[in-house]
Amino acid sequence: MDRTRPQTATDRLARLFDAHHERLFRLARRLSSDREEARDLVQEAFLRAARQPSAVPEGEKPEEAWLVRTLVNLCRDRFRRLGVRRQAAESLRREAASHHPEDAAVARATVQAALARLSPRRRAVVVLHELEGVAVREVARLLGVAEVTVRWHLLAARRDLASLLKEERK
Amino acid sequence: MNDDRLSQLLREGDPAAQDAGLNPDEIHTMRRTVLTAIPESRSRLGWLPLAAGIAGVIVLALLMARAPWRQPPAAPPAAPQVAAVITPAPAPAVAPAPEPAKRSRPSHRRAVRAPKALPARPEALMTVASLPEKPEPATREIRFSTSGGTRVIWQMPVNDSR
Repeated sequence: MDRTRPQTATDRLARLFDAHHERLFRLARRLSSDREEARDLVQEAFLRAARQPSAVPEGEKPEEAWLVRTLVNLCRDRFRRLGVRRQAAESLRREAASHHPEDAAVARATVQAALARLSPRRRAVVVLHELEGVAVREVARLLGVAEVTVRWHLLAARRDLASLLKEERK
Repeated sequence: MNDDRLSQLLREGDPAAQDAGLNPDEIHTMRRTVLTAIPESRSRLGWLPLAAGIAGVIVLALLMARAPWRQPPAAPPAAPQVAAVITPAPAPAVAPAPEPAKRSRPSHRRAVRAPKALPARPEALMTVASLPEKPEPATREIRFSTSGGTRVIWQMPVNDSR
């Protein structure tokens, strides 16, 4: 008799995980500095959903938006806690120079270093719009902000990235 | 650097472009970790309200059992004992208290000691005895003690015509 509710919650969480873990890991990989961090972020986002099943809204798009916001918030918490902005940029630059001398790897490390120096919210806007091709309106819905805020973040991020990439490529 | 060039640079350096994503083992491990977190959180939160409710009921029952208004009512106070003594005029103003009144006085109320005070003041008796030309009428004295231990002495003149 009591098994109905936990079973329902487990089923729902399993469906949530199966539907969104790939997309969430891809986003986390673009928001974080390395693969391990991305995996930890995805797992922590799903663990939050497991601990607070009632906080996850019903429906595919609302629950996707909830997961994306949770992931971005986790990135922001980690960003604040570790102060990794400059450390990540430096480590990525060193890694690219020492282990991956190819042009593609250098370009990838350069972009990661530039992205890592943006704030998590701005980085999420850039990643969603520029790398995942999500429209501004959809980015606003996913992040729970106004469209004008997304446009403002994009404008500021392009300006910052342009100067950062120019600086990194020197 | 214009926006198109920036977008091209970002796509070329996409961190997820070369990443194949989570492998099946990682997915399986993460899925199991996430799904097993549900019963833990439910069981952890499930017994807390129950335990708190039981503890609250026990505390409430103890408080109710030991409440002062739940104790049996005290025995009704004894009726005040009244002793009426009619004494002649030259007699001492205050006679020794009767024995029953003494017994009824509580031990913690020993302030009133009227019967013993009179022998220690002989000048008062001398003053009363030094008025022979005007004999005082007989008085009626009523003594009683209240339930709280207070002793009351009333002296009233006795009307002979009655």
